Amino acid sequence: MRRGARRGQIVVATVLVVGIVIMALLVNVYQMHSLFLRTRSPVVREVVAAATADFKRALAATLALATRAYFNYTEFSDLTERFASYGMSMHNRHNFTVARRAALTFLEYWRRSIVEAYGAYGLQVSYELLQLDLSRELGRARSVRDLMKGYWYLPISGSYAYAKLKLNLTALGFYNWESDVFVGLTLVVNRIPASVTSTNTTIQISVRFDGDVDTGTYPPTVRGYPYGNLIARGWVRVYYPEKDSAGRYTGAWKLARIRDVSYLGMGNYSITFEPAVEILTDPVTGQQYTPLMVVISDERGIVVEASTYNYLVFAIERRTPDTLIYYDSAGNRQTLSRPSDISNEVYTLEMSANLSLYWLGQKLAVDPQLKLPPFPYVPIKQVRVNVTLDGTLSTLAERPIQYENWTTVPWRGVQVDIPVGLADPQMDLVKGDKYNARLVFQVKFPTTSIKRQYVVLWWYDDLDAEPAAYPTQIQYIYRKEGGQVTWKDVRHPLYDVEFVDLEHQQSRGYYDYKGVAAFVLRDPITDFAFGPFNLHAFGVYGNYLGRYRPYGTWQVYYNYMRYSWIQAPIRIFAVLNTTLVGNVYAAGDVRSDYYDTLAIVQVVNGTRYIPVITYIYWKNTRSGEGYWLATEMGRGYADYFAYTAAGYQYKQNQTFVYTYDDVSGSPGGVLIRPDPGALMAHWSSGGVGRAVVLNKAAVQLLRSVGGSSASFSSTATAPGGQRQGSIEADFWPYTTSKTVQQGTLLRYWAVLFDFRSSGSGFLSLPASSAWQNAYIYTPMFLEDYAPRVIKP
Amino acid sequence: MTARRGQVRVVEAVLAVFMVVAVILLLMQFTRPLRSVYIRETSDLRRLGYNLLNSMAENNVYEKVLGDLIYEASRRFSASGKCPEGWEGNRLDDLAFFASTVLPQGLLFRMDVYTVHYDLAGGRAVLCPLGYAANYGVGTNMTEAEPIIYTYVCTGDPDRVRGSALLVHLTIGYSG
Repeated sequence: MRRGARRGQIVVATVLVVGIVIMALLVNVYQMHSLFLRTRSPVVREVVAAATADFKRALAATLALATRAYFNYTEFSDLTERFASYGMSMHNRHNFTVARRAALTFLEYWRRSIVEAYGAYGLQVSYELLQLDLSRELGRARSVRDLMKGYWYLPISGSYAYAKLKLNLTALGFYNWESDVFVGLTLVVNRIPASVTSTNTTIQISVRFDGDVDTGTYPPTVRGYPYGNLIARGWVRVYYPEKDSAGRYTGAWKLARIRDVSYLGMGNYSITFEPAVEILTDPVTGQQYTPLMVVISDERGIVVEASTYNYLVFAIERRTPDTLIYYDSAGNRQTLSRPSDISNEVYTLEMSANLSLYWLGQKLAVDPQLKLPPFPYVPIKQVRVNVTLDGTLSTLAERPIQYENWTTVPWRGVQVDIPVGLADPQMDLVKGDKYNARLVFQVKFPTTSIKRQYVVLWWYDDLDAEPAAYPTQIQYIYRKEGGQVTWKDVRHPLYDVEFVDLEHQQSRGYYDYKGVAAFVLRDPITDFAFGPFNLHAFGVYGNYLGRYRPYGTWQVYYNYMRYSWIQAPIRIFAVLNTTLVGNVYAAGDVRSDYYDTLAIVQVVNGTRYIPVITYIYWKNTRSGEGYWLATEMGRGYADYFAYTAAGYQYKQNQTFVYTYDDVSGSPGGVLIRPDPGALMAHWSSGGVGRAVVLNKAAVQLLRSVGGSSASFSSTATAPGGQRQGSIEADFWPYTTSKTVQQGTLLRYWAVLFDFRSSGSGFLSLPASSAWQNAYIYTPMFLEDYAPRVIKP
Repeated sequence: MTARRGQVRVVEAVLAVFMVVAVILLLMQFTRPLRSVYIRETSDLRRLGYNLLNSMAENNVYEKVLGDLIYEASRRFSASGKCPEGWEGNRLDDLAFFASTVLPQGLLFRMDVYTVHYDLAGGRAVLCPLGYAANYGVGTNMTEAEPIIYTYVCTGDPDRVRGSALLVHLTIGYSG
């Protein structure tokens, strides 16, 4: 027993020793592991911090690139042009989608390079593009998504980028690190200045940057930190609107001379600059504001542009009479009251970047009380328009807008406004020396009780905004068949306008125009040709009337550059600019020694009119039988004809109505009547008619060039003997030979107007009096009755 | 019998001594300092190095000191698609001066700086040396040196370097 007990003690002691040794080994292993952790932890911490900080810098750099390019590509070309290969070209400077794509490309290369750089630690990097709510920062519902966003041009504006960085350090056993990375710059501009002296203005702004992302909500929110480095490391600019000598805003901006910038703490700054800027009152809200634009940049190059106002507002006042006077053929005074429904009184207005408004190419009178500040430095695509329908703010809603590019050029010694196409929506809406964008919109006066309508031109703050696209009933159709252009038409619900010219000579099922530029009105359903509207004509060719007419090619503008899928929502226009005249009766009879022609034809959605603005310049003195200002053929459709007198030989607006028999029974089958005035019309006994309204200048030109020979005429038959029934405005008829002098310059417009003997917007009239439905709309196309721009 | 008892006693005594030694060893494991001088110095050097590089980043030192070189390297790379030759031998003395003023006395460093060109056509990132900054010359040995990698996207002025990417390879240690 004793021997057995001792053996047991040895066993126990051995087990204890072995156990202690094993425990010592385990502690050793633990110690080694602890040592490993302690030696690697500084690397993990620093590498993660370094990678996250660099990702933030990369985000800031891409946001700086995007915002600098957006604000002024050329000024910051040292930065922007280096990223042209990423797509960040001058052409795409206002395309935030391209900027975003460039940023993502840059970040992908950054990701690859950083993975290589930290390859020894097994770095794996990715990032996720998530949504971040900015409503706390901007005071309106906005968010960052798809990496970056810019919300500019309002009193609270900002530029932001946000992504969630994810990384692993596989060689160090470190996984699933996530970090919300946000860069941003917010600018708040007080609308009202702190003070204005005779020479200086002082405003206050607040600037915030970056901020803590609060992930406790979905989507996460952020509130920026006060930015205190604006003076030391960033910069600020203030722009004020330029005025002309009469004290009116020109549409241009000038850089203010900053006299002092003071930091007030908590990101607030006081800026004093020259000059003194006037305080305006918003006519809608009654709020005061100083029209200013403030631009800031932080030291990272991130730019924000803010404006102290977010729309321009004015009213359009209709000046057409609701009771019209005319004289019957016997000279008796008659009154004509318009129906309460005047829904065809739709004005297609243009507002230029230089703050001028136009109707039919004429600049509209503006109420001196109306102070319209310029548009901020905003791309055209941002702009929208709201217009009222009943003259009250309750119907103020967004309406179609179209962006066009116009230029003023010297043409035969005079300055002429011509369109050069629909605008590039990504270009700045700024007053230009050569080109000016025009915003085209429509103002309707559906009833006689409505005298004025509100117009509000406003702009989107989102830099990603696309140009406005609206449904339209007008459509451009260009078709080639067998190598020949067979369609060069603008389709409108009331008529199809076929443009015939050098490339489209043969009107479908009608005449070969042999290169003469005109347009043929066709039935939009049956494609039946009613005959052309001839812009101008001179002389005779044998027995044929109107030998030399403008000869050339129409340039048709119908869609936007780079947004080709957006059709012109309001109007499609065709421009003819030619030095040649041709002969529809003889191919090859083309001359360059008669007159030059510049014509602008507009096919307007939702209206019954087609304005034709024409400029004619005579290069040589020419004599001939017959000289026509404009003619509209009828192809036998018309049964009645009418014109109003100019007042030189008859009473002004004395009206004469004829039947087709009157025309065909006239000598030579051409009815010729003196003293043509503003209105010519022809219509069918079924009550479908077309009128040509001549503006005051055209009527005066008929008289000044043609003298007492000026006449209204109608031709009974076409050259082939078919029934015609035209309406023509003659400087002198074909029965007279006269001379037009070299240097004669004609500037006028004619408006084709489609009317009915009854229906919406018309009086209900017997067939013989249907012209009155053209007459009740005639004033809207005359200079003296053009609408006025007034303070609401 | 007595001899056998003596043998057992000896074995027991040996075991007892062994136990005591083992326990002492075990206790020593727990009482031994966890951070050796080496570990402390290693982590401190790394931290110091990253602090230096971060400090330079936050103050846009890279743009200010290396701006011209970065621009020239980018321009040449854009023009030829190749790195400027021989630039690895450029001494970046301004950078060295800045680092020397920040780092404690007695520490040696060498900072090799590269521009990272994103070659979109080739779909690659290309490193081009800009030069190096160091506070020691040939013949000086560095002991307990620590390598530190740092990447930097330029965000500061001027615009011509904004958005450029750099790789900094810093080696920091003690003179030996």
